[in-house]
Amino acid sequence: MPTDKPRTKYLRRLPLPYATALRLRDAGIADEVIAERVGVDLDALATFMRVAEAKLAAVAFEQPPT
Amino acid sequence: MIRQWPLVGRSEELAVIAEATRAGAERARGIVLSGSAGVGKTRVARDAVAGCGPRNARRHWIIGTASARSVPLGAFADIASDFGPDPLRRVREVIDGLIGTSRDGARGERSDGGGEVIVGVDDAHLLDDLSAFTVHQLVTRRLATVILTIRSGEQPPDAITAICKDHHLPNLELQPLSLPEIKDLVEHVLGGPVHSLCARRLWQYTEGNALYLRHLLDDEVNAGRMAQRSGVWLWDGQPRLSPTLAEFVETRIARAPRPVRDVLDALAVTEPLDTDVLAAVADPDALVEAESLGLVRIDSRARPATVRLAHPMLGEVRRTNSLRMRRLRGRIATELARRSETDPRELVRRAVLTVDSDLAPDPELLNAATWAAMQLLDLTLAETLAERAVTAGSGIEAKLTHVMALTWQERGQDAEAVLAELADQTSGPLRVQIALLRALNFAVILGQTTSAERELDEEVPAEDDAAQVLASALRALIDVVRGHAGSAVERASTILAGTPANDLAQMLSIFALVQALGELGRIDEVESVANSGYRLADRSAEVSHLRVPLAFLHAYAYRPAGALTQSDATIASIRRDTLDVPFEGSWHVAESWHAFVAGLSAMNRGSLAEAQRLCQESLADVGSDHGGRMRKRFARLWLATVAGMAGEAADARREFTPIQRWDADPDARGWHAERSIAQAWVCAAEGAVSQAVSITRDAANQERRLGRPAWEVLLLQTATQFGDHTTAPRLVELADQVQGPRAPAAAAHAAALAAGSGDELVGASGQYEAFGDRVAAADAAAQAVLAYRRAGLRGAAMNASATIQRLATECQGAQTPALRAATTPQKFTDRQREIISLAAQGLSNQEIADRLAMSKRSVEGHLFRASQRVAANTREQLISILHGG
Repeated sequence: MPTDKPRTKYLRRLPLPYATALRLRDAGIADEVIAERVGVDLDALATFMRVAEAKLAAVAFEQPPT
Repeated sequence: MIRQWPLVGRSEELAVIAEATRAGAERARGIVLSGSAGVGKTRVARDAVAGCGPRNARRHWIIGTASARSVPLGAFADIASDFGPDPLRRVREVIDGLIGTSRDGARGERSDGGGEVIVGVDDAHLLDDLSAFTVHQLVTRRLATVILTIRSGEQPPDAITAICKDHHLPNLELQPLSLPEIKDLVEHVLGGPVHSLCARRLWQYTEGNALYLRHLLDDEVNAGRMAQRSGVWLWDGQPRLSPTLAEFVETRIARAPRPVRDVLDALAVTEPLDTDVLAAVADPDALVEAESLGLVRIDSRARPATVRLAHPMLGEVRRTNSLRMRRLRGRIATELARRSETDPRELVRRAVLTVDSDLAPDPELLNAATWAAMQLLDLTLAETLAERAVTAGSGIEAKLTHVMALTWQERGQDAEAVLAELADQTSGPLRVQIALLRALNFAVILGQTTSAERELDEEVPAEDDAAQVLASALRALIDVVRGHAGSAVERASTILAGTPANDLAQMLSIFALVQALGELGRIDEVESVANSGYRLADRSAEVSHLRVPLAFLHAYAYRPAGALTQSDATIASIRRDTLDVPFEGSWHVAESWHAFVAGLSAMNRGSLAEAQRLCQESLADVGSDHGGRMRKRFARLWLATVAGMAGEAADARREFTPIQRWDADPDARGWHAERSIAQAWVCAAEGAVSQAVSITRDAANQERRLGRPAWEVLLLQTATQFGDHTTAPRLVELADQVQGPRAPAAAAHAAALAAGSGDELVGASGQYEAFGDRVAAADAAAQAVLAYRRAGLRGAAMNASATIQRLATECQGAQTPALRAATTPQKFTDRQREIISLAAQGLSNQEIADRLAMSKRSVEGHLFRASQRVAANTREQLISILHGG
């Protein structure tokens, strides 16, 4: 799990919907609002967030903090 | 044309998909991939299908298309092309084609692990209903790993929506590619570095859409605007505003040579097309060019090779109802007609093409296609095609087919409207045929026996032997509906002894015999007769769909005699046999029907909450069709019964009230017993117990006159549960006539109640419980508690109380008059309690008097004495004391 500062940096490298969803979740926003904001069906949000986390982890792996 | 497009930027998605396809035994394997057009769903799904499961798994790739959507099971044309005679087995045949079936019927299980099946379904939102139902079966029964793609914002068929909404499979919404991913992809495709500014412009222009990028890059490289300078790819294109994907695709196609556009148009009309058909309507060289431009895909594994559009958007932008497209449909339909196809789907496809073409309507083709649609069990399509055939001038033949489609959906009123019209237009043998169809509709679906009989009496000549066999079978059914079980058995047995060649006559006779034997209490004979009906349904396409009502009659025949084990076994068996059958042509009706028969079982066994839930579910499609009249009637009756058993008076009355309106035919006494049972439970829940007793006694007397001893037993048993002490002599007589466990249990119960014997009532309770009637068991135990208390046997009363508590819990909240009497302190006489209960529902003294058939003065007297007994000053106080206040 990346620490807060690099996390912000890595989020910029993600496709916008994933970055938005992760930022909203970090801010404690409810799932219904996140789903609506990123245009994903609420039923699909759990899988969506898993992909988002995986993509974030991949970016962090490729560009470790210096 | 750039051929090699790698899959870039999707490794996390593929990891999630791989996990979903490895799900354990507790859930279905697979995933739904949704996303906007061109985002790359198909590519990801194809890679996932190729990569998941064991190496030797069977893999299938199914494609939904807008043009194939009008053809039932059109998406599975490559899987099952040779159908058997039974229309109810279509989905099963396709499933067998997909997953394979060993000789003993075990599906998809091979010791080498090669039994695993992976099915990719591309553009599942474009599947026809029957194909969608097939996919739903694959997922929910876990027969295969299924990877679906659905375009966001489209409305998929209900069965596909249910896969997502009921959480059978996870849903992954694919997102457009990010800037780094687009750059990576372009560099892979072009084989060299791309200037970062160009990459950004490409990303902004395409909004990360892979399809858009692919078309754009093809164009720009071919035009030389995308070129390598000093080893770096630069884009000189200067587009101002990016058009939508659809506009872009449209513009691009418009620039293609005319012959290539002709190929695309032909495929927009219908796909897939064999290369030889396509060659007849378009330039063969253009097909090669279209493929090289990446606009079509050719599958060379088939012979002849088949061609599809490379992406559904290519068809969407070309599909219009212009005269040119109508002509093209006509040319393709004509070309398809030259080939000798046996697949009913080809006939339907050709008819649908013709309808929207410049060709003159062909009544013969439309008629044949209507039958083909019936064979594919798409009754709605059959109806539409039949109406077209009538409009095209096909006349009576099409109308008869139309009637069949309506009858199979149990849409009795609609069928009668067409039949009445036909009756006026025909004479001779055709009129006889109409009369038989009409009588069938009247007797079986509409429950109007007088009209049915009139058709047979007036229109079927005595010397027409063939017609008389069917007429006789219909008369046996009319006997059943009228409650004449004895004559129904006689008539049906005579017909079946002659082994009639007419399958419908045979099946209707079996219907009559199964039901009437149950009503006579001759349940030992039911099984073999019903089995002969199932065998007939297996071999005869004409009556195959009737196995479903036969199964209901079979399970229901055991109810009055209390043979609940046999009834449940029948329900389980038909469920196994018809899991993949859309009843009356509808997936929803199938779901409702399964809930309906499960509701019968739950009611028989006194699982009240379960029965209520199932009966309500079985009515879920009431608003969506006109069919299933009998199913809805029974479900409402059972709802009223179980609500009454649970003491929910208002719910019980609400469910029961419409039934009286529906039962318009006074001669249809065959249905009265069940209605009387429901009505009695409604009254019992309202507190009018003496009225409940007199309803069941009157109904029992009617059953005695009709000669239906099994129903008489159940009615007298119900009266005994309500406290009627006088049923024993008749029940003892009936116990000798009626097979099954109910009659001896009810006789023992009645005798014990008359004798006031707590021990014997406990014994009767045990007998009821042994065969599964837990409400009756609870009532007999409750009556035992009262008997023990009267005899001063407090220990025995406490033991019996423990029994009723256990049974009431098992019954999920039973609240019958006997249970209330045994579990609440008794401050009033039975009559006083009854009158105060009715007063509690807001009835005036006069209304109470009318309801209980007594004088108003008597009602007032009972209320006065009750008030004195508990020192109450007002009506409200009396009611409050009754309710334990």
